[in-house]
Amino acid sequence: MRGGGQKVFIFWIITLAILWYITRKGVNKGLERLAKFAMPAIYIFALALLIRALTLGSPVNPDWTPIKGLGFLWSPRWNELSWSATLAAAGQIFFTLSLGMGIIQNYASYLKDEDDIVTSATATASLNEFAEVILAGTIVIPITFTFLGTEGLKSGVGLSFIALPNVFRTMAGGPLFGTLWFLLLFFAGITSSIAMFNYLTAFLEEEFGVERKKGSTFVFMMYVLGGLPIALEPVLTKTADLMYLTELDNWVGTYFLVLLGLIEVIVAIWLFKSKGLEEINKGSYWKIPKWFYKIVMSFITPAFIIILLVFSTINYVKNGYFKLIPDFALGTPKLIPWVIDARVVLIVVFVLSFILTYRSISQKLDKENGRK
Amino acid sequence: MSTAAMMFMMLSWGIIIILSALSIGTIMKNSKKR
Repeated sequence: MRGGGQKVFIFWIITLAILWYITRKGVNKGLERLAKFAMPAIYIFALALLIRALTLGSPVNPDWTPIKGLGFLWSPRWNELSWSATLAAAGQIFFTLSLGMGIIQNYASYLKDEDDIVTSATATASLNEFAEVILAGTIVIPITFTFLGTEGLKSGVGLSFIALPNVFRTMAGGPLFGTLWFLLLFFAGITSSIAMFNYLTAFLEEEFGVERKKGSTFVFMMYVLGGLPIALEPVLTKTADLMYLTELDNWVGTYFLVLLGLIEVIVAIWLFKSKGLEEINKGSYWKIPKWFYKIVMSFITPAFIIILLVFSTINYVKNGYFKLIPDFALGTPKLIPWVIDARVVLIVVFVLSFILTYRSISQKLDKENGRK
Repeated sequence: MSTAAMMFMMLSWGIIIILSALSIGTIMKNSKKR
Protein backbone atom coordinates (compact mmCIF):
# COMPACT_ATOMS: atom_id res chain seq x y z
CA MET A 1 0.00 0.00 0.00
CA ARG A 2 1.38 3.43 -0.93
CA GLY A 3 1.73 6.18 1.67
CA GLY A 4 -1.21 8.28 0.42
CA GLY A 5 -3.59 5.35 0.23
CA GLN A 6 -2.59 4.18 3.66
CA LYS A 7 -3.31 7.61 5.14
CA VAL A 8 -6.76 7.77 3.51
CA PHE A 9 -7.47 4.29 4.84
CA ILE A 10 -6.39 5.13 8.39
CA PHE A 11 -8.39 8.36 8.55
CA TRP A 12 -11.45 6.65 7.12
CA ILE A 13 -11.28 4.01 9.88
CA ILE A 14 -10.76 6.77 12.52
CA THR A 15 -13.86 8.61 11.24
CA LEU A 16 -15.93 5.43 11.33
CA ALA A 17 -14.69 4.72 14.85
CA ILE A 18 -15.80 8.21 15.95
CA LEU A 19 -19.24 7.53 14.45
CA TRP A 20 -19.39 4.18 16.18
CA TYR A 21 -18.46 5.77 19.53
CA ILE A 22 -21.07 8.53 19.23
CA THR A 23 -23.84 6.14 18.20
CA ARG A 24 -23.01 3.70 21.00
CA LYS A 25 -23.71 6.48 23.49
CA GLY A 26 -27.23 6.98 22.11
CA VAL A 27 -28.10 9.53 19.52
CA ASN A 28 -29.56 12.23 21.72
CA LYS A 29 -26.56 12.69 23.97
CA GLY A 30 -24.00 12.20 21.24
CA LEU A 31 -25.74 14.44 18.75
CA GLU A 32 -26.45 17.15 21.29
CA ARG A 33 -22.86 17.23 22.46
CA LEU A 34 -21.56 17.45 18.90
CA ALA A 35 -24.22 19.77 17.49
CA LYS A 36 -23.85 22.35 20.27
CA PHE A 37 -20.21 22.73 19.37
CA ALA A 38 -20.09 21.88 15.68
CA MET A 39 -23.07 23.76 14.29
CA PRO A 40 -22.13 27.30 15.44
CA ALA A 41 -18.50 26.46 14.57
CA ILE A 42 -19.48 25.65 10.96
CA TYR A 43 -21.08 29.08 10.50
CA ILE A 44 -18.18 30.94 12.15
CA PHE A 45 -15.57 29.08 10.04
CA ALA A 46 -17.63 29.69 6.92
CA LEU A 47 -17.97 33.42 7.58
CA ALA A 48 -14.21 33.74 8.09
CA LEU A 49 -13.58 31.87 4.84
CA LEU A 50 -16.18 33.91 2.98
CA ILE A 51 -14.46 37.18 3.92
CA ARG A 52 -11.09 35.70 2.89
CA ALA A 53 -12.53 34.45 -0.42
CA LEU A 54 -13.93 37.83 -1.38
CA THR A 55 -10.74 39.71 -0.47
CA LEU A 56 -8.33 37.55 -2.49
CA GLY A 57 -7.82 40.12 -5.26
CA SER A 58 -6.39 38.64 -8.48
CA PRO A 59 -3.03 37.02 -7.62
CA VAL A 60 -2.79 34.74 -10.69
CA ASN A 61 -4.49 36.48 -13.61
CA PRO A 62 -5.86 40.06 -13.59
CA ASP A 63 -9.07 38.70 -15.17
CA TRP A 64 -9.62 36.10 -12.45
CA THR A 65 -11.25 37.99 -9.56
CA PRO A 66 -13.53 36.58 -6.83
CA ILE A 67 -16.45 38.74 -8.05
CA LYS A 68 -16.07 37.40 -11.59
CA GLY A 69 -16.19 33.91 -10.05
CA LEU A 70 -19.52 34.83 -8.45
CA GLY A 71 -20.64 36.17 -11.84
CA PHE A 72 -19.80 32.78 -13.38
CA LEU A 73 -21.82 30.99 -10.67
CA TRP A 74 -24.92 33.16 -11.02
CA SER A 75 -25.08 33.62 -14.82
CA PRO A 76 -27.63 31.08 -16.06
CA ARG A 77 -26.35 29.03 -19.03
CA TRP A 78 -29.64 27.64 -20.32
CA ASN A 79 -27.91 25.69 -23.12
CA GLU A 80 -26.15 23.55 -20.51
CA LEU A 81 -29.42 22.61 -18.76
CA SER A 82 -30.10 18.87 -19.20
CA TRP A 83 -32.10 16.09 -17.55
CA SER A 84 -28.97 14.51 -16.11
CA ALA A 85 -27.98 17.88 -14.57
CA THR A 86 -31.52 18.28 -13.21
CA LEU A 87 -31.44 14.77 -11.73
CA ALA A 88 -28.02 15.45 -10.21
CA ALA A 89 -29.38 18.69 -8.69
CA ALA A 90 -32.49 16.89 -7.37
CA GLY A 91 -30.27 14.11 -5.99
CA GLN A 92 -28.09 16.71 -4.29
CA ILE A 93 -31.02 18.48 -2.62
CA PHE A 94 -32.66 15.18 -1.60
CA PHE A 95 -29.33 14.01 -0.19
CA THR A 96 -28.54 17.22 1.65
CA LEU A 97 -31.99 17.41 3.24
CA SER A 98 -31.86 13.65 3.98
CA LEU A 99 -35.00 12.96 1.93
CA GLY A 100 -35.74 9.59 0.35
CA MET A 101 -33.45 7.62 2.66
CA GLY A 102 -35.44 7.13 5.86
CA ILE A 103 -33.49 9.62 7.99
CA ILE A 104 -36.35 12.13 8.24
CA GLN A 105 -38.63 9.31 9.43
CA ASN A 106 -36.03 8.39 12.04
CA TYR A 107 -35.81 11.98 13.26
CA ALA A 108 -39.62 12.34 13.10
CA SER A 109 -39.99 9.36 15.42
CA TYR A 110 -38.23 11.40 18.13
CA LEU A 111 -40.79 14.25 17.81
CA LYS A 112 -43.62 14.75 20.26
CA ASP A 113 -47.20 15.13 19.10
CA GLU A 114 -47.29 18.88 19.64
CA ASP A 115 -43.87 19.67 18.12
CA ASP A 116 -43.84 22.29 15.39
CA ILE A 117 -43.19 20.53 12.08
CA VAL A 118 -43.86 23.41 9.65
CA THR A 119 -41.46 25.92 11.21
CA SER A 120 -38.77 23.30 11.87
CA ALA A 121 -38.96 22.07 8.26
CA THR A 122 -38.76 25.65 6.92
CA ALA A 123 -35.81 26.41 9.20
CA THR A 124 -34.03 23.18 8.17
CA ALA A 125 -34.46 23.79 4.44
CA SER A 126 -33.65 27.51 4.50
CA LEU A 127 -30.63 27.24 6.84
CA ASN A 128 -29.32 24.40 4.70
CA GLU A 129 -29.59 26.61 1.63
CA PHE A 130 -28.00 29.47 3.58
CA ALA A 131 -25.00 27.24 4.30
CA GLU A 132 -24.76 25.73 0.82
CA VAL A 133 -25.90 28.41 -1.61
CA ILE A 134 -24.82 31.57 0.19
CA LEU A 135 -21.82 30.47 2.27
CA ALA A 136 -20.32 27.51 0.38
CA GLY A 137 -21.16 28.98 -3.03
CA THR A 138 -19.44 32.25 -2.13
CA ILE A 139 -16.39 30.41 -0.74
CA VAL A 140 -15.64 27.56 -3.16
CA ILE A 141 -16.44 29.16 -6.51
CA PRO A 142 -14.64 32.52 -6.04
CA ILE A 143 -11.53 30.89 -4.49
CA THR A 144 -11.26 28.29 -7.25
CA PHE A 145 -11.97 30.84 -9.99
CA THR A 146 -9.40 33.29 -8.61
CA PHE A 147 -6.62 30.69 -8.72
CA LEU A 148 -7.63 28.36 -11.54
CA GLY A 149 -10.16 30.22 -13.73
CA THR A 150 -13.19 28.57 -15.37
CA GLU A 151 -11.18 25.41 -16.18
CA GLY A 152 -10.66 24.84 -12.44
CA LEU A 153 -14.40 24.99 -11.84
CA LYS A 154 -15.00 22.04 -14.15
CA SER A 155 -13.43 19.50 -11.79
CA GLY A 156 -16.86 18.63 -10.28
CA VAL A 157 -16.72 16.47 -7.14
CA GLY A 158 -12.97 16.99 -7.06
CA LEU A 159 -13.45 20.73 -6.54
CA SER A 160 -13.32 20.52 -2.75
CA PHE A 161 -10.74 17.79 -2.53
CA ILE A 162 -8.39 18.44 -5.43
CA ALA A 163 -8.68 22.06 -6.61
CA LEU A 164 -9.08 23.69 -3.21
CA PRO A 165 -6.11 22.02 -1.43
CA ASN A 166 -3.88 23.28 -4.25
CA VAL A 167 -5.33 26.73 -3.85
CA PHE A 168 -4.84 26.72 -0.07
CA ARG A 169 -1.24 25.65 -0.57
CA THR A 170 -0.46 28.78 -2.58
CA MET A 171 -2.67 31.48 -1.05
CA ALA A 172 -1.66 33.78 1.81
CA GLY A 173 -2.89 32.32 5.12
CA GLY A 174 -3.62 29.11 3.20
CA PRO A 175 -2.69 26.59 5.92
CA LEU A 176 -5.03 28.31 8.41
CA PHE A 177 -7.93 28.72 6.01
CA GLY A 178 -7.39 25.25 4.55
CA THR A 179 -7.57 23.72 8.02
CA LEU A 180 -10.75 25.69 8.76
CA TRP A 181 -12.32 24.57 5.47
CA PHE A 182 -11.62 20.88 5.95
CA LEU A 183 -12.72 20.99 9.60
CA LEU A 184 -15.95 22.53 8.32
CA LEU A 185 -16.41 19.76 5.75
CA PHE A 186 -15.61 17.20 8.42
CA PHE A 187 -18.28 18.55 10.80
CA ALA A 188 -20.84 18.78 8.00
CA GLY A 189 -20.06 15.22 6.93
CA ILE A 190 -19.97 13.65 10.36
CA THR A 191 -23.32 15.12 11.49
CA SER A 192 -24.99 13.63 8.39
CA SER A 193 -23.17 10.34 8.89
CA ILE A 194 -24.42 10.12 12.48
CA ALA A 195 -28.00 10.33 11.19
CA MET A 196 -27.33 7.53 8.70
CA PHE A 197 -25.49 5.41 11.24
CA ASN A 198 -28.09 5.98 13.93
CA TYR A 199 -31.21 4.96 12.11
CA LEU A 200 -29.73 1.58 11.26
CA THR A 201 -28.76 1.08 14.90
CA ALA A 202 -32.19 2.30 16.06
CA PHE A 203 -33.87 -0.08 13.58
CA LEU A 204 -31.95 -3.08 14.96
CA GLU A 205 -32.62 -1.95 18.53
CA GLU A 206 -36.32 -1.23 18.23
CA GLU A 207 -37.40 -3.92 15.80
CA PHE A 208 -35.20 -6.84 16.76
CA GLY A 209 -34.22 -6.02 20.35
CA VAL A 210 -30.50 -5.82 19.49
CA GLU A 211 -28.73 -3.97 22.27
CA ARG A 212 -27.56 -0.49 21.10
CA LYS A 213 -23.86 -1.22 21.74
CA LYS A 214 -23.98 -4.50 19.81
CA GLY A 215 -26.13 -2.95 17.09
CA SER A 216 -23.76 -0.06 16.53
CA THR A 217 -20.80 -2.46 16.37
CA PHE A 218 -22.66 -4.51 13.75
CA VAL A 219 -23.45 -1.36 11.71
CA PHE A 220 -19.79 -0.29 12.06
CA MET A 221 -18.65 -3.61 10.63
CA MET A 222 -21.16 -3.37 7.75
CA TYR A 223 -19.91 0.14 7.00
CA VAL A 224 -16.31 -1.07 6.87
CA LEU A 225 -17.31 -3.97 4.61
CA GLY A 226 -19.41 -1.83 2.25
CA GLY A 227 -16.97 1.08 2.17
CA LEU A 228 -13.76 -0.91 1.94
CA PRO A 229 -13.77 -1.05 -1.89
CA ILE A 230 -13.82 2.78 -2.04
CA ALA A 231 -10.57 2.88 -0.09
CA LEU A 232 -9.03 -0.14 -1.82
CA GLU A 233 -9.85 0.64 -5.47
CA PRO A 234 -7.40 3.52 -6.00
CA VAL A 235 -4.69 1.69 -4.05
CA LEU A 236 -4.98 -1.67 -5.79
CA THR A 237 -5.64 -0.42 -9.32
CA LYS A 238 -3.51 2.76 -9.14
CA THR A 239 -6.35 4.73 -10.75
CA ALA A 240 -8.37 7.72 -9.58
CA ASP A 241 -11.67 6.93 -11.33
CA LEU A 242 -13.42 5.67 -8.17
CA MET A 243 -15.72 3.45 -10.24
CA TYR A 244 -17.17 1.64 -7.21
CA LEU A 245 -18.19 4.94 -5.61
CA THR A 246 -19.39 6.37 -8.94
CA GLU A 247 -21.67 3.41 -9.59
CA LEU A 248 -23.08 3.49 -6.04
CA ASP A 249 -23.65 7.24 -6.38
CA ASN A 250 -25.38 6.84 -9.77
CA TRP A 251 -28.05 4.78 -8.05
CA VAL A 252 -28.08 5.38 -4.28
CA GLY A 253 -26.97 9.01 -4.27
CA THR A 254 -29.10 10.12 -7.22
CA TYR A 255 -31.69 7.92 -8.90
CA PHE A 256 -33.04 5.94 -5.93
CA LEU A 257 -33.23 9.04 -3.72
CA VAL A 258 -35.65 10.63 -6.16
CA LEU A 259 -37.57 7.37 -6.69
CA LEU A 260 -37.88 6.77 -2.94
CA GLY A 261 -38.81 10.44 -2.47
CA LEU A 262 -41.71 9.89 -4.85
CA ILE A 263 -42.85 6.87 -2.83
CA GLU A 264 -42.59 8.96 0.37
CA VAL A 265 -44.75 11.72 -1.13
CA ILE A 266 -47.35 9.21 -2.31
CA VAL A 267 -47.51 7.52 1.10
CA ALA A 268 -47.48 10.74 3.14
CA ILE A 269 -49.86 12.80 1.02
CA TRP A 270 -52.01 10.53 -1.09
CA LEU A 271 -52.53 7.62 1.32
CA PHE A 272 -53.03 9.75 4.44
CA LYS A 273 -55.21 12.26 2.51
CA SER A 274 -56.48 15.14 4.70
CA LYS A 275 -55.19 13.42 7.86
CA GLY A 276 -51.71 14.28 6.60
CA LEU A 277 -52.47 17.99 6.66
CA GLU A 278 -53.96 17.71 10.16
CA GLU A 279 -50.81 15.97 11.40
CA ILE A 280 -48.51 18.52 9.78
CA ASN A 281 -50.39 21.49 11.25
CA LYS A 282 -50.83 20.02 14.73
CA GLY A 283 -48.77 22.16 17.12
CA SER A 284 -47.34 24.24 14.27
CA TYR A 285 -47.14 28.01 14.64
CA TRP A 286 -47.36 28.52 10.88
CA LYS A 287 -50.16 26.51 9.26
CA ILE A 288 -50.00 24.97 5.79
CA PRO A 289 -53.12 26.23 3.94
CA LYS A 290 -55.46 23.62 2.49
CA TRP A 291 -55.00 24.91 -1.08
CA PHE A 292 -51.20 24.59 -0.80
CA TYR A 293 -51.53 21.02 0.46
CA LYS A 294 -54.03 20.12 -2.28
CA ILE A 295 -52.30 21.82 -5.21
CA VAL A 296 -48.58 21.99 -4.45
CA MET A 297 -47.94 19.04 -2.14
CA SER A 298 -50.50 16.60 -3.60
CA PHE A 299 -50.15 17.46 -7.26
CA ILE A 300 -47.23 19.66 -8.34
CA THR A 301 -44.54 17.96 -6.19
CA PRO A 302 -45.28 14.35 -7.28
CA ALA A 303 -45.85 15.50 -10.89
CA PHE A 304 -42.44 17.20 -10.94
CA ILE A 305 -40.74 14.13 -9.48
CA ILE A 306 -42.50 11.81 -11.98
CA ILE A 307 -41.49 13.97 -14.98
CA LEU A 308 -37.93 14.13 -13.67
CA LEU A 309 -37.80 10.36 -13.17
CA VAL A 310 -39.22 9.55 -16.61
CA PHE A 311 -36.73 11.78 -18.46
CA SER A 312 -33.85 10.69 -16.23
CA THR A 313 -34.68 7.04 -16.88
CA ILE A 314 -34.61 7.71 -20.64
CA ASN A 315 -31.28 9.46 -20.12
CA TYR A 316 -29.89 6.58 -18.03
CA VAL A 317 -30.95 4.07 -20.72
CA LYS A 318 -29.37 6.19 -23.48
CA ASN A 319 -26.10 6.46 -21.55
CA GLY A 320 -26.01 2.71 -20.95
CA TYR A 321 -26.35 2.82 -17.14
CA PHE A 322 -28.86 -0.05 -17.22
CA LYS A 323 -26.54 -2.38 -19.16
CA LEU A 324 -24.81 -5.30 -17.42
CA ILE A 325 -21.54 -3.45 -18.00
CA PRO A 326 -22.38 0.26 -18.12
CA ASP A 327 -20.95 2.31 -21.00
CA PHE A 328 -18.87 4.57 -18.74
CA ALA A 329 -16.83 1.56 -17.55
CA LEU A 330 -16.10 0.15 -21.03
CA GLY A 331 -13.07 2.41 -21.53
CA THR A 332 -11.31 0.99 -18.46
CA PRO A 333 -11.78 -2.81 -18.51
CA LYS A 334 -9.68 -3.39 -15.39
CA LEU A 335 -12.18 -1.32 -13.37
CA ILE A 336 -15.27 -3.30 -14.50
CA PRO A 337 -15.08 -5.70 -11.48
CA TRP A 338 -15.41 -2.66 -9.18
CA VAL A 339 -18.63 -1.63 -10.93
CA ILE A 340 -19.99 -5.18 -10.65
CA ASP A 341 -18.94 -5.22 -6.99
CA ALA A 342 -20.97 -2.02 -6.40
CA ARG A 343 -24.01 -3.64 -8.00
CA VAL A 344 -23.68 -6.78 -5.88
CA VAL A 345 -23.46 -4.65 -2.72
CA LEU A 346 -26.53 -2.69 -3.86
CA ILE A 347 -28.58 -5.82 -4.48
CA VAL A 348 -27.51 -7.47 -1.19
CA VAL A 349 -28.34 -4.33 0.82
CA PHE A 350 -31.68 -3.93 -0.98
CA VAL A 351 -32.76 -7.55 -0.48
CA LEU A 352 -31.60 -7.59 3.16
CA SER A 353 -33.38 -4.30 3.96
CA PHE A 354 -36.52 -5.48 2.19
CA ILE A 355 -36.67 -8.73 4.18
CA LEU A 356 -35.94 -7.02 7.52
CA THR A 357 -38.42 -4.18 6.93
CA TYR A 358 -41.09 -6.58 5.68
CA ARG A 359 -40.63 -8.78 8.76
CA SER A 360 -40.80 -5.85 11.15
CA ILE A 361 -43.92 -4.37 9.51
CA SER A 362 -45.73 -7.70 9.43
CA GLN A 363 -44.83 -8.33 13.10
CA LYS A 364 -46.32 -4.93 13.97
CA LEU A 365 -49.48 -5.65 11.98
CA ASP A 366 -49.83 -9.06 13.68
CA LYS A 367 -49.51 -7.42 17.09
CA GLU A 368 -52.12 -4.79 16.20
CA ASN A 369 -54.53 -7.40 14.85
CA GLY A 370 -53.94 -9.56 17.92
CA ARG A 371 -54.89 -6.65 20.15
CA LYS A 372 -58.15 -6.16 18.30
CA MET B 1 -20.60 40.46 -12.87
CA SER B 2 -23.56 41.23 -15.14
CA THR B 3 -26.70 42.95 -13.87
CA ALA B 4 -28.79 39.85 -14.64
CA ALA B 5 -26.44 37.61 -12.62
CA MET B 6 -26.44 40.13 -9.76
CA MET B 7 -30.27 40.27 -9.75
CA PHE B 8 -30.50 36.47 -9.83
CA MET B 9 -28.06 36.19 -6.92
CA MET B 10 -29.76 38.87 -4.85
CA LEU B 11 -33.21 37.35 -5.41
CA SER B 12 -32.02 33.86 -4.37
CA TRP B 13 -30.10 35.18 -1.37
CA GLY B 14 -33.07 37.35 -0.37
CA ILE B 15 -35.55 34.47 -0.32
CA ILE B 16 -33.13 32.25 1.65
CA ILE B 17 -32.24 34.95 4.19
CA ILE B 18 -35.87 36.00 4.78
CA LEU B 19 -37.04 32.39 5.26
CA SER B 20 -34.09 31.58 7.56
CA ALA B 21 -34.64 34.68 9.69
CA LEU B 22 -38.41 34.23 9.92
CA SER B 23 -38.27 30.54 10.83
CA ILE B 24 -35.43 30.88 13.34
CA GLY B 25 -37.13 33.96 14.82
CA THR B 26 -40.41 32.04 15.21
CA ILE B 27 -38.70 29.04 16.80
CA MET B 28 -36.80 31.26 19.27
CA LYS B 29 -39.93 33.24 20.15
CA ASN B 30 -41.97 30.10 20.74
CA SER B 31 -39.27 28.33 22.73
CA LYS B 32 -39.26 31.25 25.19
CA LYS B 33 -43.03 30.91 25.65
CA ARG B 34 -42.82 27.20 26.54
